[in-house]
Amino acid sequence: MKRTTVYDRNLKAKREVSVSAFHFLFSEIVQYCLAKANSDAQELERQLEELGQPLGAKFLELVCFRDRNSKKDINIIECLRFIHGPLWKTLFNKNADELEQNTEEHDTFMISEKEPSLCNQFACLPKGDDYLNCGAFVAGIIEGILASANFPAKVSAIFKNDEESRKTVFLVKFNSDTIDGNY
Amino acid sequence: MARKSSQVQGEQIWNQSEKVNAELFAFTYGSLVVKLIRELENISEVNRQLETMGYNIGLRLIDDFLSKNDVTCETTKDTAEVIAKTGFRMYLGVTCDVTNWNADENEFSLILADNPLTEFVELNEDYRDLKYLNLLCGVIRGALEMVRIKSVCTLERDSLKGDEFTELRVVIKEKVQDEYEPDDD
Amino acid sequence: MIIYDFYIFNNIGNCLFYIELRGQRSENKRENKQKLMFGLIYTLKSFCRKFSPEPISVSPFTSYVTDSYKLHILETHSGLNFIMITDTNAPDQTSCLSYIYSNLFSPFVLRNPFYEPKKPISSAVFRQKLLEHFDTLDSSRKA
Repeated sequence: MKRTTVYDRNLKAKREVSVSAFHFLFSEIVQYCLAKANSDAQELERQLEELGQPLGAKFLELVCFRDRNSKKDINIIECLRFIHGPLWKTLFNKNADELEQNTEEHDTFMISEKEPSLCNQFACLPKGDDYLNCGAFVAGIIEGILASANFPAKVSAIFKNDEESRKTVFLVKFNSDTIDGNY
Repeated sequence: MARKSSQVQGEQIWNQSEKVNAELFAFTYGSLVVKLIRELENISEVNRQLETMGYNIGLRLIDDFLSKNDVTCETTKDTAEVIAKTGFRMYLGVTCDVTNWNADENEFSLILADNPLTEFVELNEDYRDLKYLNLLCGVIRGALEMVRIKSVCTLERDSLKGDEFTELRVVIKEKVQDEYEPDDD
Repeated sequence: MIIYDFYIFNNIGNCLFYIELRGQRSENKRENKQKLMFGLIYTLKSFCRKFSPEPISVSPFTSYVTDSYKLHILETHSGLNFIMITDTNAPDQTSCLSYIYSNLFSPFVLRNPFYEPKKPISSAVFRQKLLEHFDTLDSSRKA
């Protein structure tokens, strides 16, 4: 009897698991990294970013394979639009809320979410938690995508509070030689 | 009582629950396994760590499960059915079959034909000792412990290693009492 | 309805969460109260089981009432105890406690990556959501 392998799988099929399954897995990952990082916030974020990075390349392939309109060889702006649109839709079932360029520093872009999302939705630290954002994992995914599209950048997840809500901003800062002549 | 409705129950909760892309889930898990392989000394350490992490997940997950399911499991058969038909269904969207009961009815196997955690996973020869799904074994052990059932769960067969399907063997050791002792009697 | 206190205990008597809605007491008194409370419900449950003609698995009783307050309790299969103290006229609160279990405890405690199972709950968000929920039940709290 022929066994089915990864190569026989239908790449177009859309599968889902319950969001709580993801939260439980992610929580335990955070706990593991927290112990590794000796409870150091920055080190924890670094580890979460590192865990997210390999996902970038995988999703870039998958989303491009499924969506004919998404090409891989594109410029920076198109790549960011791809992340803001099709990629976000694949990951979180919606587009990201905003995509903007920093008016002063042209090598810096911001992808923002008005509501806390998947990774930091229920995250709450004992004493104020603005200094630690579990969205670092998603920042790592974005970094991974940009790296495999040949636009290396540093991506970090930060909280931004305004009166009504608490925004998560993914700050995308391109390497200076990436930005020259690429958009 | 549990037997009749566990499938329906699992189905209902699954239909109502918020979902997330299974690839995100599978890749996240894959990324964790790679991290553990890199950071820990050898594969058996990785296997042990995955089981421990699963166990910790089980400790949390059980209350999420119970808060959405009003179940009473009188017998081990009920427990097995609830894990296979409700538990797996409501979190991973798949069900398993319960088979291979021993004569005393305290050991059984869960057969997983399909499993979102192994989506796109292929193990090469270097990792032939890796128990990729050991996390699931831990989840079952942790969750059962919280309802005061001591158990041991092992990965008996693994479709990632060429077996026809994945088999988790669950051995129920004992049902325990709470440890609380009032100060004076 | 007036709500006085709310507790969550685990199966071995550790108080995971405690909130006083009417006035604060000293830390010493709080600890004492928690100990007494768990001892009380533990004993009551043993009594209920002992005198029952049929075996009872969980939650052998759901409330008792005195001259000045009413105690409501929900015990889960995992041994968690959700306890609420209200005024004497309050109706049955089983559904309220189940709501807290499934709609507040489950997401805001269990799915918080920084929560450690079996340890006291420190989440400010859980606390806030709980208080908001109590506001909808206890009209006198709104002012």
